[in-house]
Amino acid sequence: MGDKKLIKQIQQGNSDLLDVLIRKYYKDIYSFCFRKTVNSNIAADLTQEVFLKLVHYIHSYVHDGKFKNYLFTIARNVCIDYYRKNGDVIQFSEGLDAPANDENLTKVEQSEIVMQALNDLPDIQKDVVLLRFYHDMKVRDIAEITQTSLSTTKSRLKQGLDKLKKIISEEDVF
Amino acid sequence: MKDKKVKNTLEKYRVPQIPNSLIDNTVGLAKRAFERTGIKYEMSFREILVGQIKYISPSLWVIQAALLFIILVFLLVSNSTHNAYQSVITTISVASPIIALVVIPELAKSFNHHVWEMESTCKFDLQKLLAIRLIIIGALDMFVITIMVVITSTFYELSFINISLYILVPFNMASSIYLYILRRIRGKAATIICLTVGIFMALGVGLLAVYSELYTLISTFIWMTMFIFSTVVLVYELIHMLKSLQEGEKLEWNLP
Repeated sequence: MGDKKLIKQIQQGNSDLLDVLIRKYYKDIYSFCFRKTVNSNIAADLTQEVFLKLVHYIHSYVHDGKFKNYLFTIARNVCIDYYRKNGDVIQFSEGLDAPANDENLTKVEQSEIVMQALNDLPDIQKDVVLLRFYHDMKVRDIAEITQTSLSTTKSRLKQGLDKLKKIISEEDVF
Repeated sequence: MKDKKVKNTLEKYRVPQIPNSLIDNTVGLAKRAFERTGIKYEMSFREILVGQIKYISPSLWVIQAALLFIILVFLLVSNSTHNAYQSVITTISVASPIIALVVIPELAKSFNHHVWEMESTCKFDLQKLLAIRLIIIGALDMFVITIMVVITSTFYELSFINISLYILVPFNMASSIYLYILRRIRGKAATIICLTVGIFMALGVGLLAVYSELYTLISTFIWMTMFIFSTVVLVYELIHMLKSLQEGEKLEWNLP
């Protein structure tokens, strides 16, 4: 069932379909929140908040674009609100598993370097990079989510990528 | 470094596994929150209209179709009678109050079956429900009348406007009387009185139509005036009927 039909039926009172809708997008939203906060507990809380906000606004939702964009707009706003309330300090979680051998050590190292590189980006660039490379979104959709023009989004993406390339190139683990 | 390589590098940053309990917990909370919000879904007019069609008894469609068939047979047979004009006028005159009459049991059924209080508590108020049903039934009547007008004006030398007026004036008058009865009398008695009045009206108009010269003696201007007057009366009755439903609701709910 497509998102439009799914939401229409939920709006008509079919709460069972919320299950389908949440499970469909949970991983996507959780991943976004995790990469924004780098903390699995906070990411889980924020993901929950995203879906509760969705439920709160679902009756006023009008399907005139991609639902995924709508959901990511909520997710982005929830993350912004979180940092506004708690400051810009990232509370690293136990997230990355301890290595058992050299291969794993490299993987964890690489993961940490990417994580660090992403966290070094300003939020406006980080959002664009996350949505483009981890969620396969088109620049047009990213512009809609970040509420910026297409040219601004393209420029942020380019600046973010340039910075990432620079940071990653300096490391010799890739 | 190319974009593809950047993407491959970024993919090395994986998100930890999500426990199913987290998803279940979110689903549960969301469902509970949803149930607290209540249904606020605003259906479009088209959705309401289509939704109400299925609540209209299939017998109404069958009776209307059968009535249309009988009228068409009479209209076509009139061609072979020695006084075709008089025969056509009689047919359409008798048919008009009957077309309006067949929908009465459908309109009155909420009251006859004593379900209007239940309908009043549903998603739409009874006023809205009845207004929608009147639109559907009115559209059906207009469809039947249009076919009658088109067939008559095609096969006989009668103007489209005159035929429309000959049908619509008694139709409007009969409908106004039926609505007045429905407004004043509740229960099965209303349907019985409407049926009786309808049959007498059809007979009366039929007798009048025997003197078909009367129809042509009266100028189109007077017919037009009668049409406007009967339409105003019909609209007045419709508004009063819908208003009386609201008053009825208030009265009923305020009873100790």
